[in-house]
Amino acid sequence: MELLERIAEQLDLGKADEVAALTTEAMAQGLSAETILNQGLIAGMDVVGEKFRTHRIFLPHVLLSARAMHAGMDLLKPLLIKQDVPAAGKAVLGTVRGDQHDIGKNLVGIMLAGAGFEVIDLGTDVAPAEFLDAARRHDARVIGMSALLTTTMPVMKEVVELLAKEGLAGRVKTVAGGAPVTEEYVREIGADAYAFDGVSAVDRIRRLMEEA
Amino acid sequence: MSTILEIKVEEILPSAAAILAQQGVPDHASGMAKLLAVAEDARAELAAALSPAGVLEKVDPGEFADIYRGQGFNEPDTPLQKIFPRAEELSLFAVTCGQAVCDRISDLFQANDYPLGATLDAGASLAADRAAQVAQDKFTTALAAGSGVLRYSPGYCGWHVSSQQNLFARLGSRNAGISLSESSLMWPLKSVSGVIVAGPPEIHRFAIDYPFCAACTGKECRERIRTVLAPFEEEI
Repeated sequence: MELLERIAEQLDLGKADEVAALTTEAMAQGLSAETILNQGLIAGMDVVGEKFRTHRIFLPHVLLSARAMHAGMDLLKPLLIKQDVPAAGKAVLGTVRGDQHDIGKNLVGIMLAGAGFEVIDLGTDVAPAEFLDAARRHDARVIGMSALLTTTMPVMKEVVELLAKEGLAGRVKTVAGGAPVTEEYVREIGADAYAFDGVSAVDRIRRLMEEA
Repeated sequence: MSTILEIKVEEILPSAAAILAQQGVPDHASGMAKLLAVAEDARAELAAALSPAGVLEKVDPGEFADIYRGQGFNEPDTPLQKIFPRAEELSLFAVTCGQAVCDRISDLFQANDYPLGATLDAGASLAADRAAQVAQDKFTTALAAGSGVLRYSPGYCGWHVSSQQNLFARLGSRNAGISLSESSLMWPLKSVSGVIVAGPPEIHRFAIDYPFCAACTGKECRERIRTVLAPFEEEI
């Protein structure tokens, strides 16, 4: 089996040590960082994402694979910088003001990083202006917002409204998710996309980046 | 009147299977042995890091009305505003798993150990809920038989999270070691607070036709209400 396929396969199995060893081997063979990233690591995570979407595996499986992904990524990072390989995109993430639930947001960050995105994680209890400031400062085209409380969901609307007020709507896309958030609610507040979980967040953000 | 709760780790420590269920893993999932091993590790981490604490503070309906009103951000119409005036007993509660478990979760994520970090997070959430249940059970033991008892927390069902400010002001130094951020969020993170309401079971029944119910996908209130009403269903 080709080396890159073996990386993808071991990543699918969640075997971090094996992924790290195979990534080292691929680098030693002179494969470019971009090739290893796209055809090995990201290809493996795409398989994992598809299995998760179709309920063949569950969240802890995905996280075992994500850990394996990062074991490979840590080795590749210096080479990616040296070879000037651009990130798939930049995304600002945060749990909205008044809400401290961060596990869902963290998982989205992990999955995005695994898909080759640069993630600017603002943490929890993030005010609308902080999302905008970070998007401007990092020239990010996507803001991802998370809320677990029904009483904090309206802050997502404030972010969307502030983007419009500042003339950034369209240029900076918004994705919203969290246990009480629905596709319908996202439409109602005028956000660009709804993400049910980390895997769907990657899909939606990839699509938004293509449109941007 | 305040009651400082002694909550034992073994009272709130969930099983590995319960932790996996909390993460949405069905018990027939493939690769279950691997996941159970992670959950067992998370459970051991949890057992070592938990330092639960809690407090109960009885209040009368007049006092609670001020706490409920909070900073004035509640939804105009909520179930709780109709429930608590009909209560026979009310008690504020605050429980926490302690800071150490929250620090450990952060450390694991920082070290890219996402499986263990996320599984520990799920276990700690379960433990915090169980600590709240311990508080409710201890409150319930002092009540006359026949009371319907349920707890409600700021941040849910139209009760704005900013009411935490009034709730913790009322608890004062008897706060189980929990502090509030400017945005009324509790630290340590794995903490639960609110009010325990005891009275005729029927007072807890409400329809899910409030405007905010449309945005709520969980509808966990249905199961909670069913649980409290079930023992009395023939009488009601």
